[in-house]
Amino acid sequence: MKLSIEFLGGCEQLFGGVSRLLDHDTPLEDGATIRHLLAYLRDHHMRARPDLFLDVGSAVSGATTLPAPGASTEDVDQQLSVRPGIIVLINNADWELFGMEDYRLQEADRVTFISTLHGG
Amino acid sequence: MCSRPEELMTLDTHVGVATQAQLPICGRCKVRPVQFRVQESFCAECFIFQVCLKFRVAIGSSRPFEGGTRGGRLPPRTAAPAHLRLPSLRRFAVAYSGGFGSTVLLDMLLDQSLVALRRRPTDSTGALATVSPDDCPIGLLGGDGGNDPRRAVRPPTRCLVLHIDEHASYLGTPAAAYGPFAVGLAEHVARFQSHAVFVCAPLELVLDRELPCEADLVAFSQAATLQQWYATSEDGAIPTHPASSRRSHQPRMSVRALEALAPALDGPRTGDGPSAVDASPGPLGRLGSLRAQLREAFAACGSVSARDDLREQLRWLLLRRLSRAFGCNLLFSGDTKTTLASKTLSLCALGRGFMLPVEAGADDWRETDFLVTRPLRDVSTKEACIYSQLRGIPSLPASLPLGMCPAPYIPGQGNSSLIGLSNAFIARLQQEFPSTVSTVTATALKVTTDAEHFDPAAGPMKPCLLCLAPVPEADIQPTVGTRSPIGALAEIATTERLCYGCRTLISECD
Repeated sequence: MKLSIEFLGGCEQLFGGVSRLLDHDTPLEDGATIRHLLAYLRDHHMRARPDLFLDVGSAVSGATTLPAPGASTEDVDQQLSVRPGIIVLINNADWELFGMEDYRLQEADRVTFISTLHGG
Repeated sequence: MCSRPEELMTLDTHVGVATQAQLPICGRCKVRPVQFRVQESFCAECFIFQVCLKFRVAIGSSRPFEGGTRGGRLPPRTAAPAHLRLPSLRRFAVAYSGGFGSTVLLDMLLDQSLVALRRRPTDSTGALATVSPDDCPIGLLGGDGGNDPRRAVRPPTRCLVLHIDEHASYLGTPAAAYGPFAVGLAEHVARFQSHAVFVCAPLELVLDRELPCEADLVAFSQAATLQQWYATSEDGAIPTHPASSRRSHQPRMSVRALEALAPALDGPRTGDGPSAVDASPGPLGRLGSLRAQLREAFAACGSVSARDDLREQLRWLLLRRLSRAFGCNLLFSGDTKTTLASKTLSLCALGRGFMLPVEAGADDWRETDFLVTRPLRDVSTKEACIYSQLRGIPSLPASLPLGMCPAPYIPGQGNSSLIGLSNAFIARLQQEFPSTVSTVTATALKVTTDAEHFDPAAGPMKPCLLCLAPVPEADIQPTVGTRSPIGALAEIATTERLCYGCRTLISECD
């Protein structure tokens, strides 16, 4: 699935300075959600400090730290979300309108991650 | 915190539509589909209108200038004591950090296409209303009595935009780390070159006991353009005349080279180049020692919270001094509602709760002849962020390595600051309970203090030497056993005129 992914507001530091992945060919298949995209970014593109971008969704699982590398991938993915303070736009619209992490990605979608935590 | 009934969970934002074609129509214009949900649902154009409206309402409610009664139809602003009303607007400055708040503030103040967004776009094309070039949001601040207030206060042709370079206060951070941010900042600055004068001053300048005169600061703005200041190469060429700094393609100049040019910048400009003048070194010549002093002070801080607090106090002290040096009596701050909510908690935790009315309120009246106002106090950081995106304002990269400004709270890890902890607490709580920020800021606005506290002539109050907060004489205590390694703060530390919060801070710098 080809997606365009943007990292703005300081997020690009976490991805090696890359601010845009335009028409990026991802291994995600039909039916993949934002959670799968986050897992993909974490595993293949994130260069530093995943704790500044990802959140385990402690409101759901009660966890306070990111799970150890040996944890089940499927379990981890169900808990993944972005850290509070990071805004996600899907095709320039608020992801809250689409169900947030449960939104099913479609071909040529544009996902923008904007951090309000960093910068000036 | 109250719990949410289960039936409300079905209306939660987590239940969304599958495709954009299924999005409802905006309830305001009833033409375009909804794109954003921030308390209400808006299309893009109505969202911009709503944010601009909040800005204009906030800026109009300040009315700090004498005669700002709008022809007698509105009463003078009662929140500001009478002795604090400013006689007239001289010049205004904008504190610009590069974050979303200050970026949006700058855009709203200076972009003439937005200055008078009068009516909600209702036509199907969504075109914004046309504006008159004479309109300006500054006019809403008040004007001469009897005249149209929006015409009487004519803004200066150009405003002063101040950016404080703080990288020297982050220990172990080389100047080169600031490079990508500086490049992005220079590009952003270019958007407003015709309306603003950008001055970029290093934080260590606050330690210079000789208050920079206007000539020095003009030198900063002329020679220390951003591309020169944040050099990526140590071997940059040195321009032969300060006027050459106005060329579009600037040679990269290292800070060391800039310091070598200092005598030429401070002396009379003969046009013959640096060798023709010889003057006492200005602030540029003293920067090296000031930077070392600043690093020493921050290295001596006993905790991350103390470093963040000290940085905050020095930043605002420098902003005020620079604004005054340029003849400004009004300073705009880009603090958003979210920022103010976090600040409310952190101020109380740092022993500065008595300053809530000015630090987290609408206006900062701690100085009788200088006002700091926050016109984005009703705009959340999320709204500012989306506004920037819609307006096509380029996003600036982080000015410092992530995890430093301020030290964020990471669950399971230590070494976070109180400010970072407050930010994380508010952000996480806001996610689950969307009225958190509004509730905290509304509560902070209800905190008041006696007007006499801000009038040195009315009562036994003296301003704190560091944060300028009023300190009752009864609370003045000798700072026993306190010694600061830096020259300027040492003088402060050995005197008695510090508020409780600053005494605590200085004691941690021992």
